[in-house]
Amino acid sequence: MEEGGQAVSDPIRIEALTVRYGRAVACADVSLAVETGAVYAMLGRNGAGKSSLVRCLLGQQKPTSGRALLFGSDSWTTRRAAMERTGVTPEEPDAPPAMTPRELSDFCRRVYPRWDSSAVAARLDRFGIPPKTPFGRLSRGQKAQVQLALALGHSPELLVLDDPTLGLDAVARRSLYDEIVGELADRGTTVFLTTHDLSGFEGLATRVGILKEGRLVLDEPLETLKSRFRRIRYGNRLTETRTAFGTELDAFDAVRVLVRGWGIDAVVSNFDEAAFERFRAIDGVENAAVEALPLEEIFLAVAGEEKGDAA
Amino acid sequence: MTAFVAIVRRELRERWQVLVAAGVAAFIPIVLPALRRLPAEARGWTSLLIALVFALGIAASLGAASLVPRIANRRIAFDLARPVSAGAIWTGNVTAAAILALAAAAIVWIPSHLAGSPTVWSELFEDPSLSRIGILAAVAGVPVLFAVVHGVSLMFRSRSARLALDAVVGAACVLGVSAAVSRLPEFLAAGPRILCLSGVGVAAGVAFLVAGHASVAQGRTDIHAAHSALSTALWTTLAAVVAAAHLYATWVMSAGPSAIAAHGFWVRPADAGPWVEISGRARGAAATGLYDTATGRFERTRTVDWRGPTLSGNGKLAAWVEGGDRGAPAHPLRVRSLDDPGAKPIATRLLIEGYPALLELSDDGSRLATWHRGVLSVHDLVAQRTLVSASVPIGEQEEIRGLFVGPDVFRAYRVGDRSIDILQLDAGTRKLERLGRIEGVAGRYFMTDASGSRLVKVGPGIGLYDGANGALLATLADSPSRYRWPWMLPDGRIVMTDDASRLRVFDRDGREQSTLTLPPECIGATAVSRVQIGGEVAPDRFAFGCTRDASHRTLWLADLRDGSIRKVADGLSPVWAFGARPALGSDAAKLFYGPDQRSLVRFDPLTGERRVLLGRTP
Repeated sequence: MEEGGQAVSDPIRIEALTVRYGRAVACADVSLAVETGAVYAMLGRNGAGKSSLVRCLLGQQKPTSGRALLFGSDSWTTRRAAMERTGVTPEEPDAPPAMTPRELSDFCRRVYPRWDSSAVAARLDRFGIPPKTPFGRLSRGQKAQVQLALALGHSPELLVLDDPTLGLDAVARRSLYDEIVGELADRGTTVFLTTHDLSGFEGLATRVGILKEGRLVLDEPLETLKSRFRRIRYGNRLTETRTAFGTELDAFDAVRVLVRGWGIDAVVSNFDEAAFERFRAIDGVENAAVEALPLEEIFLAVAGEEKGDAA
Repeated sequence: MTAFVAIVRRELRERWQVLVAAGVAAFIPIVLPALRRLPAEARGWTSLLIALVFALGIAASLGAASLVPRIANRRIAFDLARPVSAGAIWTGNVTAAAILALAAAAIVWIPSHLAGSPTVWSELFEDPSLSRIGILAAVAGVPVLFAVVHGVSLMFRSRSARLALDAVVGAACVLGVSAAVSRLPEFLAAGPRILCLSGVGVAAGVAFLVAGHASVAQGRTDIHAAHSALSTALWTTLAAVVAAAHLYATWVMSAGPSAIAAHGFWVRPADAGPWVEISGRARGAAATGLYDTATGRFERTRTVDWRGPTLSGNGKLAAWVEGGDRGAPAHPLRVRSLDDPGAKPIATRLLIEGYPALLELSDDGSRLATWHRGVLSVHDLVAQRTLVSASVPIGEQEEIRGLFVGPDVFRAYRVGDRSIDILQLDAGTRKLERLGRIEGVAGRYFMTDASGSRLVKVGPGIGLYDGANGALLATLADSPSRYRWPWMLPDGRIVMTDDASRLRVFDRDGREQSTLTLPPECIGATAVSRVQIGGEVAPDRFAFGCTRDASHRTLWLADLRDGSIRKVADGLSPVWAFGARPALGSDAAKLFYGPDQRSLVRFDPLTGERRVLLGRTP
């Protein structure tokens, strides 16, 4: 079944979504799609609009314009049905604080058509969560683990994680990753996550989006992304003061250029070998070297400061 | 449904401690009377008071603390991230609050009740049906209170400029309802007023419940959107309620003569001209007005049902005292010209204290006599001022009647069960005179001719008196038991029935002129109203009605020229009004009630021409 040339069965499709709070724009004309089985990492600095996007995606907030589709239907109008197929872990723990994990699981058992209480109990056990301690008295990491266990209790087709590792220590992060990896390995669940913890999810994400000041400035498969972003370092005899760079980088789309004491440190977003060979041959360019970038570096280059000469 | 139950269970589980608190509080009314040496009744009242405090307190506190903070800090996302509808979230929270509030109240009240405290409930509501309504209102009031507090706290919590708009629109709604209710004055429409207020109250409660649901369904995690949705739903609904209240008030107060006629009515025709005073009930309210039987024009008068408008003898002016609800010290006197098709009621400068027991226009409508609380006054309606007032006190069993016998001269009859005092107030000389007194009578029924020169009094017997000084002119009948009812024709002749199946006619000085034999259908045993004399439709010809039973009425025409009587219609009876003196051949003489007094018919007994003016076709 096709609609507008795209498969409507994509678990997630966001169309020209805009969110405004008064005059402030949280999301501006964001469009993206996440295919079944993909792990989509939405990156962005604080205030970039990630949480607003997630709330709209989950039908918890009405976008100012545009729409978010879950399983082909507008999430604002069909939230209840979509949530039967979706697991969610929020940025801030939001379960009723007086309820114990066991009571929370019992509550969920009553509202989901399919609920695996034993799987939830097993997960909580693996996490080492005391089942009779009220949610409000658990540690931050334990709360996140309980929320993840609850999000997976009905074997969702889609898992939406809103900065799930925020505030967690290394051990809690690790157990959370393991659980998600296990879920992906077992069931091929589609995952949409927002995060600051780029290194943790780099091995999981298949596609990456970057929100900057509400705009989706990047949205592509991780492999493609990593292949076109490179760091180029070189000495520069073209300028006397070494406080600026010249035209030698014109062949590249330099997203970040730092002028350092030893030369120029540039991140380019359209690297290719032939262009680099021509770059190296330019008179005045010395000791040119290229290296691949981790996701975090790419994010910093795209979402960080603008191109300039800051050291 | 399962999600709703899950929400209710969760909320109850989270807040069950209030029931423990209620259990502790339940001991207070049991222990308090013993400690304070209070009477046993105190236990019942104390338990009821504490139960109310618990119920209302829980409903209000949960209204503020259940959903609003969750929307404000987005913790409601926990429910929204699950397949739980907004309806289940809202109704689940409302239901849980209601269960907790009512259960807490029961926990407080039941032990005192079982401990044998007097039943205060029966004291509060002596009527069992009111008791049921009270219980229903208490049960329904808890969720409504939850919704109201939810709405108000959401408005404040959003810290939005919309709050100012809410305040303005809320005030406008209150004013709108107040205006609608004020259009249903208590003295006229107490029932519709209560119905309107009750309807508005119920609808406002429903509006808050609907608006609360909208705040969750449309606001979700955005408190500003929740506030917007709440306000939109609330004020839209309440605006519709206000509009409906106004429509209802308009509908009630716009009832025309047909609506009045639908439920049975009374008509008092002017002595001349086509206008009548019509009164009855319509759409739940007392309805009185002026009705033109010739054109169908209608003017509703806002008067108390027992003091309707009065019409001048020439049928060209009506006057009435505008009614008002309690607290109004004086009421404006309004007049309306009846011979001007475009005339509107005019408020005169005359303010009448209370509703006068006597309200009588002069024949030409230029003077008005009133009597209220011992003061007889004559007013000039042209100059809109009071010409003269005099103290005319009456006893407990007395009343004042009268008529204008000259342009500025009003004759008042102070009627008691045993005597009639004849007084005369002259606005020209500003003097009150006592003209005479009729002694030894029984009962208060009497009638005078149009000039006031003759007075016929029933009881004992039937006597003809001089209307000015009370002198007995003739005894028309000795025994009250034999004779049924006298009536005066426009020229002063007196027509009387007796149980010997005759109509007897006397001249204005009491000399018997003729006797007519009643047809068999009019002959009965005792009922005074079996034969009812109507107006003189032509010289020496008058109609009279006979009633065998409510379903069998016949109308007859008596011809004094040849002493004949013939039936002219079935199902009609003459319009009769106390003190009316229809002129010869007037419209009033040709007005008749249809069966069961549910229609008004213009009928000419001479020609048989008939037209139903109001109500069903007989």
